[in-house]
Amino acid sequence: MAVDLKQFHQVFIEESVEGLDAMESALMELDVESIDDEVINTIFRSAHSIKGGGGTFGFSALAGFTHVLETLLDEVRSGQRGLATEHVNLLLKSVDCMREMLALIQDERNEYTPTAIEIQAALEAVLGQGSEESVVVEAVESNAENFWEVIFKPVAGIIRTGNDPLRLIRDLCELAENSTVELLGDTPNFENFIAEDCCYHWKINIDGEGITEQAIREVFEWVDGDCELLLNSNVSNTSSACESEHRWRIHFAPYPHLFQTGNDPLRIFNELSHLGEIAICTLNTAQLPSFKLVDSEKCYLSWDLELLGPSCKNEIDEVFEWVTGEGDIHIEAVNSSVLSPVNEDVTEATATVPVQQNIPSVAVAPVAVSNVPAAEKPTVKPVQKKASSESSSIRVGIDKIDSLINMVGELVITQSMLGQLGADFDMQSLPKLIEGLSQLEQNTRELQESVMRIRMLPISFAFSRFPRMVRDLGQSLDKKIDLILQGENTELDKTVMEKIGDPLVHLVRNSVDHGIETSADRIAKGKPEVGTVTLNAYHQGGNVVIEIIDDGRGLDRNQIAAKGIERGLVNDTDVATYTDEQIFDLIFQPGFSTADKVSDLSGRGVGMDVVKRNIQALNGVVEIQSKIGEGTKIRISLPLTLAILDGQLVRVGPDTYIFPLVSIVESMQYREEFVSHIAGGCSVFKLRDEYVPIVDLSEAFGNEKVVDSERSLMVVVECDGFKVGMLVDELMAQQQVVIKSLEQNYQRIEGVSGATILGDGRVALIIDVPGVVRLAGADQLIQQNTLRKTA
Amino acid sequence: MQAEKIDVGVNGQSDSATSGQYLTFIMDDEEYGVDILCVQEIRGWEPTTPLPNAPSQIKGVINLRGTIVPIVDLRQCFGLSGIEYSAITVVIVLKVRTEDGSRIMGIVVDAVSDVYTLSRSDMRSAPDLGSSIDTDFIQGLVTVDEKMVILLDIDKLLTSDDLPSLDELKSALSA
Repeated sequence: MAVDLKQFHQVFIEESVEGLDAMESALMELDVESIDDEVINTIFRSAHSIKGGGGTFGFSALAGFTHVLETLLDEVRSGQRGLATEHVNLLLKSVDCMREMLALIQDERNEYTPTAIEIQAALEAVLGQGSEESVVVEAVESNAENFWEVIFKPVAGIIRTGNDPLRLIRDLCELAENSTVELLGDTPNFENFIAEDCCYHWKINIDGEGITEQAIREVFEWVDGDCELLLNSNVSNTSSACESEHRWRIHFAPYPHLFQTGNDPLRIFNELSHLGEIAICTLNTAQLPSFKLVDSEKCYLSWDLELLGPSCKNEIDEVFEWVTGEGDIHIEAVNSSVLSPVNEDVTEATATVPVQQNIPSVAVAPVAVSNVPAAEKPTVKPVQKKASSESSSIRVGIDKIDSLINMVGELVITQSMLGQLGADFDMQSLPKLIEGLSQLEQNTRELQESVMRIRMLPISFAFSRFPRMVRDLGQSLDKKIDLILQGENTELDKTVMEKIGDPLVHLVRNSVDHGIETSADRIAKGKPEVGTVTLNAYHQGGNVVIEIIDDGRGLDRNQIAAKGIERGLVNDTDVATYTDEQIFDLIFQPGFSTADKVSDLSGRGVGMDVVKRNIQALNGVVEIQSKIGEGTKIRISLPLTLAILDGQLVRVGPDTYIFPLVSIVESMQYREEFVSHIAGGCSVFKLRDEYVPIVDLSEAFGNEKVVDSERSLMVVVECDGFKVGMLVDELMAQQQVVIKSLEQNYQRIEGVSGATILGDGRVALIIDVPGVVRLAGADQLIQQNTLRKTA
Repeated sequence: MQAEKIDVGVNGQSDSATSGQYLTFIMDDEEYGVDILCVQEIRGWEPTTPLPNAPSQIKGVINLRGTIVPIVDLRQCFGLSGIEYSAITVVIVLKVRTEDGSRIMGIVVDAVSDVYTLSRSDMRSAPDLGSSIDTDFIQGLVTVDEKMVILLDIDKLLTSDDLPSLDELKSALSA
């Protein structure tokens, strides 16, 4: 089993994706005219971390690609070159490309994509044509070898600054094909030893093609000022002589009694890893007996290791000094150019005989330490599964988790208290029981709230993709567009967020594509040259409202109506009586405009039916407001979460219904003297200085009218910005209810948004306020009110 | 008798198999049968939560272990006069296949009768009663002990929008 870095891969991928997002948004901010250092640094940092991580985990393709990118960015950062818009475009493309490569890594494929090669070439071309000093690292084809001796003396406090010298050295070694690391400096005696201080310095010999001083300095740039760095190029060629010994293969098969001698093989390996990098560590479990026969004091395992680093075999021997008599140890040098790192099988026949012909004479001759030859097990690369498990994860603030843990603690306390009460219960402890139960209720509620909060994410997660998209679209359509994002911190359930992404993309694309006119058209119409698309999100009642507003050409009512008549969706008389909203609703009809793609109008309808369906699937509502020549506003209203609702239970006749608590403004006694009946069979209630239409719930639901209106109550609810009074018989408890779908086994019912199960097992229906208002016909009244108000 | 497993086709009809088991129930002295594989459970009547503005045969919804299940009165579906529900009124919970998956519904019947194993050859197809009466929901007719059993195709019966009037059907059948 190899040293399992795989467990970190997912983290690396997630972090890299975040890094790429950061890069992208920074690139969007980047003003090519005057480059902001901070922005460039952000981009550079992201690229650098991805490169570092990619290197650490052996994703050489990604690391290589990012390296070129980083070189370019570094030159920009250090002011050696400016950036043009096409460079930014290229950088954005590389971000996309890196995303693709990350997706491949997710499938455990470490390779260049065709676009990556293309973009890398383009980046190199940019690098090449730019400043003369820059050396294109990847492009150098010459065979000239560069040797560098790097002496790295960090200050004592380097570890406290969060830097890890070993990591830097690893990064450095990655630049090179061959490298040797020598640890210098003395460990102070124990009394003076401060664990956080770094008392060592390192001498690193690296050798490889096209290593520039700049590249080396780049590795150490995080510790710039915290270390002393001496670089010597083309030092003695000893490193070339040692070239092939830097890789050692170690076979270590301890005797069963190893543990009894007080040795710990893992400590030895730990020690080894200080000497250099353990490239491969294979554990042989062949000797392991079945579980029943295992003697826990016996060691049944043996290891095959490949170590990169130390140039001298004595160093390795020293590590194994303590166990020389305790097992079979073979140490041999491996010529890396002959043996490919992982897959090469060492046949059993040659196992005890070191591969002499591969070892240059200068090298320290490798000797098999042990006299007892042990068959070396071939190292077999484990078959890699293509586990492209799309397990999505969520990042949660530690404070949220902490509060969760607190609550679970309280819950446990309450539970044990109740348990104690129950164990020996008499009537006298009844008050205690009631108290305990109410505490339990509170705990449960708090726990539930925090769990729900974990699922809530700011909507910027969904919005973040739009700046890039609008920019790209604007460029390809040759339109100038400003995207304004508002209310990005509005929180929304993760599930809702994931499902709203695609409809939003569609709507924004429509706005840019069909809504906003070209610059010339806009100037001709006397509008500002730059079009504006606004994305706005906010909470309203129990809903999240997302608005997509453009100041483009707007929808043409007549054109849509004509189209609708042509397609037989409406007739002439309908059209005359329909409101604008009803006409605009036609564009949500399936295939409404696909029949005629050429007109401007038609594009607006493609896929709009899908948009509407997706939003309705989330129990959301989509509305269009538009004025020709002035723009369009699409308003999506979504429920905050799909699972749980704060409800007010009410009784209407024999039935119990639930109002979403957020929609209730107030509740009051119904008083006949404040009611005036107006023509059309509707009544209004004088509520202080405004008139509120009244809806009789039982009437709206097709039951008998509440006769005793004197004793009934009125719940004033908010509906689309207006107040409506609903008559109920009794107000009952307030409680949180779990929303159950009615559609699952039945169908959607107007006026009901779902059902829930009450504490006694009965089903109660959850009232959909706008639906009930529509049912009762009170919306007509509201519209009239609006007219009056606006008039 | 050994129950034979029947292969239920997409439309709920057992095409390939020659026989299948049917649960029969009584309504207004007529015996009806449904494919036993569609039956999820048989329960006693319990009060339902009525749905607003629902057709009269939809008696409301109940909580079936956390799932909201609508209850249909099959008598009213068939245009028979309603009966008083009591503790011995039976609800058969059925799994109905629809275009987009399956849904669970309960039907109220007078009483559960028997389980028969019927072979396909015993079945007579539903008579064509002309275009005025839709007999799509009848899978077939079968005679058991000299008594006619109407086998219902519940998938079609409970998903169709306009439910049949049994009076018309009966008169047409007896004619």
